Amino acid sequence: MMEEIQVLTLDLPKFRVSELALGWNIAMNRPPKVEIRNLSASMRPPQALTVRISPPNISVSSFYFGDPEELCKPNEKSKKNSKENFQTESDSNSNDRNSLDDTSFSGEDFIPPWDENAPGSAEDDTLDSPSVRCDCALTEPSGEELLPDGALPESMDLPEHGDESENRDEMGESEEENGESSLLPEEMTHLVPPKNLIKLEDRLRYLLQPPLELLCTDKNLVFPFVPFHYQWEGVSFLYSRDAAILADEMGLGKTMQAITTVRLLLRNGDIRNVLFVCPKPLVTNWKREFEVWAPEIPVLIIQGDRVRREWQWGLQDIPVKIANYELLHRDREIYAPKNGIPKHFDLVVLDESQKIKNVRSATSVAARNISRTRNWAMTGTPIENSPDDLVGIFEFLSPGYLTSDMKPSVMSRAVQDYILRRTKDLVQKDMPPRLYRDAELFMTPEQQETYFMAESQGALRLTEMGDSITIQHVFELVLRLKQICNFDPCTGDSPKLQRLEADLEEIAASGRKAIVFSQWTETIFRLSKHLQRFGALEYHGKISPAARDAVIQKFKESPDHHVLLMSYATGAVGLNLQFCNYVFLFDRWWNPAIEDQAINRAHRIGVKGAVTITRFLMLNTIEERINRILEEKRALFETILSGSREKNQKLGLTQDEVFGLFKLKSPKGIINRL
Amino acid sequence: MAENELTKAAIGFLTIVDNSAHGLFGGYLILNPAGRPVEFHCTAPVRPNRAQEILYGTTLKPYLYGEQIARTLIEKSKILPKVVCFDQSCALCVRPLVSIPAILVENANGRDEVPENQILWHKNQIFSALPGYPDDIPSVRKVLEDLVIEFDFMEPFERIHNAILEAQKGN
Repeated sequence: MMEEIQVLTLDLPKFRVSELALGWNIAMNRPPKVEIRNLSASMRPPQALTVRISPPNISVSSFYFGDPEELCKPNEKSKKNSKENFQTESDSNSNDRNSLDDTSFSGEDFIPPWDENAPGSAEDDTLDSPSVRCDCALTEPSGEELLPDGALPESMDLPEHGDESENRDEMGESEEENGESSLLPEEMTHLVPPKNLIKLEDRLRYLLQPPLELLCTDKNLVFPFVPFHYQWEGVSFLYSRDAAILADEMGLGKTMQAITTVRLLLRNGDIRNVLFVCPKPLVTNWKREFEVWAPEIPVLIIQGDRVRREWQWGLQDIPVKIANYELLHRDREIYAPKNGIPKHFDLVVLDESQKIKNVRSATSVAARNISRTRNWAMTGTPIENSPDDLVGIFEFLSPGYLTSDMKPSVMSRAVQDYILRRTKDLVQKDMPPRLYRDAELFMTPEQQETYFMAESQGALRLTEMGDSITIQHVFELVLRLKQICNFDPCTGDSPKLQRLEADLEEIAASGRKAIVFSQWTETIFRLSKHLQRFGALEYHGKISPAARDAVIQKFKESPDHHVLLMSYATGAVGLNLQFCNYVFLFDRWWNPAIEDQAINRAHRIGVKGAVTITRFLMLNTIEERINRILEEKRALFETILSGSREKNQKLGLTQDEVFGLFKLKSPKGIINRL
Repeated sequence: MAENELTKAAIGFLTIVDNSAHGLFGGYLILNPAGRPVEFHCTAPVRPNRAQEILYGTTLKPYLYGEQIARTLIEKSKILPKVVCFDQSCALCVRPLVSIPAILVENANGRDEVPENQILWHKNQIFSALPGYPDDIPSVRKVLEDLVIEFDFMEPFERIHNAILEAQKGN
């Protein structure tokens, strides 16, 4: 594209030459204009840069654990009385320890170190900050020991730590040889605050406590044996929790862990009165364990007539009380609030807490009605039948925290910080094994005939009952058949007994001991008659609680008694019989957890050598069918307790399964847990 | 401060945690002879600026650890412990600024003999004082006599570390 070119012309002014010359001349002759400036020779002073480094502004957060002035006020009266009364309590050990009359401490003259007037009690908390009190109240400034002389009673049952005495001996030798060498283990157990503790000062309160192994070396805190590391972990777990389940497998020392934690909490002033609740046969066992693990703590068993019990419940100065579950229900009005003021416990510990799994049971209601600050549950079987059992226990520990409609996965996460469960395989890798031996036997021809007749007639009757049939009817038949499996009612023959006798011959010859479990006292009576040459002893519900301890003592100490005949209901929990290497399950219980408890009477810490468990089983009978179902249940039990996401399963026999034993159908649609 | 049994027998433990993200955290734990905590003080993180780093040079660490953090913490406590234990030598330079005996606790690392101005504790820890303060060692010997439990003098530093970690999480 062509662009248009424009020619610009400038209109310059027209000057004449003369004018230009004139201007030029003027310009040339004009004097130059000089601008004059004043210059100064002086210089500016040099500027110095000053850098001021101020010290860092340090802000400090402070935490005070108790008022040092209060902690150190001398309270000679308290200390003196404590000592006197501890000594008195120790002396009374030689008498009937269960009788309050025989112990000389009373509500009037006993002033324990955790007395409300003593330093270190809850009332001493004058600061807003967390109150961790030192144990000045128990420690004389001079270092004088406040424990009874001679630390331990002579004839103590030291059931759970047989091997540890060796460890202690070794450590003792080491101390002598090395003089100054430290007795501290390499691995220490620190207190860990629970996850639901939010405030920093509360969490620091636990984190800054000395490791538990260090406390063990306190000159005023005597331990009969050095606890295992996992036991310290259990103590650490309980110590910091208001609600907790110690669900260790039987035989790992739950009792010792609970007592040691209570001991430390009492010494620290965190608690002042504790109630232990356990099945009746275990009451004296708990008392004995306290004598071993916390000999300086006065313990009172609640017992006797109502007037006496009422007085006992009211004693303020006894730090530890032990009651059985039956009393808990019977005495509910005694400890119920009066004039709005309940008998309050700083801590309530339920042993064998599966007893309260049914929230509607009188025992569960009674336990929940106790006024308390902290509560722990102890059980080797937190789930006996189904996760509902756990819900029942949590209704006591933390009402409403778990609900039956929770998915197992949700429930598993929810309880994670509340339950501590260890198994022997996990913590006692070097513990002797359990050897299972199924004695599968055939019935005698006569017995077989009796059995099949009973079964066919029973099943026929059940069928004829139609819709009126109940689970009780089926149970009756099952029990009847199981009894025939034990002894033929016509001839009295028993292949199980024959096999048992043969085994006992060998056991007695080698000087060893065995426990035989049965579900019926009647069976125990019959066995007892036949096994007298082995020094058979009986331990069941028809033996009075007072006589039971003597039976155990006799069985343990006498070389002439090689076999103890026990009922599952009485002997399955709380006893320490680790000096036995053989367990016979003469007939089988409905629930594998109960069988495990029975087996663990012998397979406990301290057991020397493997424990052989013989499970009698009559082939082609109801026992075989039940066993098959129980084996499946056992697998499920392990799965749920290990936090699996498996579907909620019933662990005992369901109603359908019981009916299914005889190929019957459940008449009602709803399947109720047994 | 009133003298009483507890203040006479208390032991202080002071350490500084160097956190690369936040700076220096000081922690000061006072224990009674049974090893139980009586007081705990911890600082907010302290971080030197660039000018301080340049101008203090190699003296920055003792300055911050000892003169600043340790001194502040010791002065903050209500109880005057009988001795303050350190696990970092650079913090020991606080000694001229405070009136409490101060010792450095170190692992013995197999040493089975120490000179007179040091203490061998349980054959695995060595206590030493800042040169120029020879009287601090006898003071420590007296403290050791008053102990109620088997004391591991390195262990409380672990507690301080855990507490500082917890405080950090809390913040």
